[in-house]
Amino acid sequence: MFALARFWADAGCFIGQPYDVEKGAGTMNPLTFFRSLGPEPWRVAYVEPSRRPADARFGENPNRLYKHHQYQVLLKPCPANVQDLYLGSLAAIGLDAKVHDVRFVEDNWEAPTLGAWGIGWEVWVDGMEITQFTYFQQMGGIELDVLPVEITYGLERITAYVQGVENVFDVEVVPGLKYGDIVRREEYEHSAYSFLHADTDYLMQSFQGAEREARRAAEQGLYFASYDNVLHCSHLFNVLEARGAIAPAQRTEYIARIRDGARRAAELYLQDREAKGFPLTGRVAAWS
Amino acid sequence: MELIVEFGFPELPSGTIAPAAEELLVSLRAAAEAAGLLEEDARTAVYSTPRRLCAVLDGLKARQSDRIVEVRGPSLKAALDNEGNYTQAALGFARGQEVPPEQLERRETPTGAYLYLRREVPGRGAGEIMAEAIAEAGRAFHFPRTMRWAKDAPRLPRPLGWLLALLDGEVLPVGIGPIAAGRVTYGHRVLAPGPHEVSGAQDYHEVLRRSFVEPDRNLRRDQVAAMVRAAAAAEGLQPEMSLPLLEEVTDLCEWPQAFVGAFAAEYLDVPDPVLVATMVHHQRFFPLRTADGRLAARFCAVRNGGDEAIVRRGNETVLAARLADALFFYREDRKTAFAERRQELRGIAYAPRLGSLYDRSERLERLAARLGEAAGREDLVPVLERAGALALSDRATALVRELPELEGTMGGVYARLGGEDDAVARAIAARVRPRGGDDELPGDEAGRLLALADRLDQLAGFLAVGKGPTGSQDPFGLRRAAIGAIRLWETLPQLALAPALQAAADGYRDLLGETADEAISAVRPFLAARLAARAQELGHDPRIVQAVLASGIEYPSEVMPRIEALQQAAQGEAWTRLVQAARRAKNLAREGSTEGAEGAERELLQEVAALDAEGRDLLSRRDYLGYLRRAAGLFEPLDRFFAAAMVMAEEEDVRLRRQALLHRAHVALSRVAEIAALSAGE
Repeated sequence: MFALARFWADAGCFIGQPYDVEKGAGTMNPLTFFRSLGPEPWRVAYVEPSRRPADARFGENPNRLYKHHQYQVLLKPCPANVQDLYLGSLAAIGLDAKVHDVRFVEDNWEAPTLGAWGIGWEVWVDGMEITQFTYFQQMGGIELDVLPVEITYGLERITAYVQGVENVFDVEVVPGLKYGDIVRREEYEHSAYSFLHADTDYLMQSFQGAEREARRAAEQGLYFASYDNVLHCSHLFNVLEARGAIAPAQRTEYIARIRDGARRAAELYLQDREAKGFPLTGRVAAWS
Repeated sequence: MELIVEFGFPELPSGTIAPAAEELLVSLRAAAEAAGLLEEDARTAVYSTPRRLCAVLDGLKARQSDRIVEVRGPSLKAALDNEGNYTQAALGFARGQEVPPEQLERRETPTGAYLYLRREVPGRGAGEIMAEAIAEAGRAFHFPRTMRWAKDAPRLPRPLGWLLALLDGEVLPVGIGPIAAGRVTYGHRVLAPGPHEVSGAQDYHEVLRRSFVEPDRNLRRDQVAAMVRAAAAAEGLQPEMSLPLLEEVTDLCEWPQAFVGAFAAEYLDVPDPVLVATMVHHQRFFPLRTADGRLAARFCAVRNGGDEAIVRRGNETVLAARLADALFFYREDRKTAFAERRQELRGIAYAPRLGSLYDRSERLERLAARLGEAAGREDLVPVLERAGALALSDRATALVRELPELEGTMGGVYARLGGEDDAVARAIAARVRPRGGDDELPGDEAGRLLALADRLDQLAGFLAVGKGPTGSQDPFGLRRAAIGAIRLWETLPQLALAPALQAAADGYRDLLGETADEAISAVRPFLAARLAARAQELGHDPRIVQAVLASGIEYPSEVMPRIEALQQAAQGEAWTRLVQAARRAKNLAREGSTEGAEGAERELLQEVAALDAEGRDLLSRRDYLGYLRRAAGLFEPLDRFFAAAMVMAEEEDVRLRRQALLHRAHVALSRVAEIAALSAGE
């Protein structure tokens, strides 16, 4: 993590912090979601905890976690040498492409709740998928004119690989302390809660409440506040789904409701930036 | 002259590379041909790797020959005034063409006299024309998925990285979006990135090979195959080499190197299909087998660089993690008896309005049995019922949730482990086949009947509730299901269409009530349309296909042989006359009594009766060609009848009798195919 941060800071990225609202992917951090929109340049890198209730495995699976961590990089506009930059970042964490077999295998990313999709790859190092690499095409339902590229590293997997252990819980975080010592109980509890105990009535009411607040905030033009509530909706939906409380036919409808919220926030952000004359355009030397 | 064009990309999706390279060549070649630049003995070549599409055209003329172009102006009447001077119309024409009026000529044509301008157009140079052709080729690709990557640039599957475009070593003046053509290519991303300067096609190949890129895809594929075999042989093993995997691996690397890796022998406890799927689908490894055909605890992988020992260790670690998962799931699955799994299907929805997977398993149980009965295989009914009931149970297992491509296969494995009859286990595994258009059909009849039941249930359900495909959208895979049903049916000659559709519709009676009957009227034309599409794909004349389908489908297995017979029979002068006579007969035909036939009527009646009698035998032997040839003889009595008898006679009884007679002829001429439908007027 330190090495990645150092590398991307040297590449002109602002080193951001995780966003303190629960979410399923680093893309949902406003530093990526909003900043992908519009013509302004942007470079950011940060760690993001991602909660995925459906991937929870009671702390028993060597690779699947309720909460895993992504290292997220967004470069906009996409530099022409972005793949070489990326290979440089791998070398910085001990994965030199001269001795490892690095492949870019087609994988087109899509996040229907965000109204987002892109074209790209999953990156394999010696047969292991360690990164999602995406040229965004749409965000919040809005087509993107200036091409952002997103690089998302799966931190637990990479760390396990670099340390040569097969189970992420066996990763040594400092000598004598393993990752499992810290998170196993948390993984177990969130798995139990998501699959067995979460009160679906409460979750549905919360979903509706957050959806209402998102709309109300948007009516006031408060897009950050509105978007936080959209993130709540998205997480509640994920728990409801893991809990088996959403029939397949309803699924599409829930996703559409979340996407509407995301689109509203995205539109408000763009209006605001446009009214301000897209102030970052041309301002940061390293980004041009 | 020699043209070489290379589009350089970051890694392209593997399945799209070879067709795109071919498209590039076709585009350039077509442009050269249209411009008259292509020498007769021009040679072409195509190269492709994950990062480049390249085409070579060797044998271009340096320029087009000069041409004379003639432009017609106004008519003389409009062009000259009474004094014979040019009018405004004539002067305007000259101005428009940017020539002085003296250059205009007068010419007589069949439609009158006109002003003409003869203009000599000098031929354009190959460079100019091919530069345009390259820009056009950039727009003309048909990639399945493309992206915007630069302003004013054509959509491409990945951002274009470089463009090499040389005509006899000279860079062509062309650009694609922000990328201008140059004389450099790039080598292997890590081993020799470049840029490397290139002078022409010969040089291109040599430069790339020195830069750890084998651009010749066929050669690279053969190299992969040979390396994998050699690496396996060194261990005394045989690779399991499917063509799709070989093609994919070829398109995932530029400089292939094969190596063998190992996994712990305990993972061999995992059933073979799981091991193979994990290795092939998830890791693109070639599974290895011992001389007696058993899977070895080894795999062969192909790398694209890196240090072999390090890459091997990494790949072994990844495979071990996946197999540990699979072994865990397999052991979990085994804790529940397979026969009990079915209850868990109650909690898994099939589709809106179409119930749960448990409901579907009940439908399959009954439908498979009814198809068995209708096909005259009562002996298979117990197997079909049991297999139908358990066919979907593997959907509730952890392994199939993890590896959905093993649906069916795992059902068979678990059924056998659960003590089911071998025939039942085989049928359960067979249900999912054929998976695609080229996939093999199940070997035994119980499996084919269950597989057909699966597809008919799917078609009946989705079509009854109006969820059929629209345009290119077929979200529920119904076209594939229909093609599968048709192919399965070709091997089930005793199974008629109507009872099968009825049985499929009956399965939905409880859920859908009367709507279930919609299934019958919807599935029949849907299958007919797929049958027609399939016959045309096999190269049959669409009119022949339509004529056969117009005569109705009783046994779907007969359709293709009937089409083939008609294709063979429908030739020659006598046949043309038969079609005309059949058309007239059809237009005038009306059901009724032929009582009291006389003269020419009587002769025709006898001929039709004879055809019916002999034809019955021919048809029962499925000798469709024999029937058609025998039926072709009917044109003479028909012609004589039309010559001798006025069908629309004044007297009603005579008219009705003659119409009834033609009706019988029409029926006889529609048993294999509706021959009248072949008429040009239809």
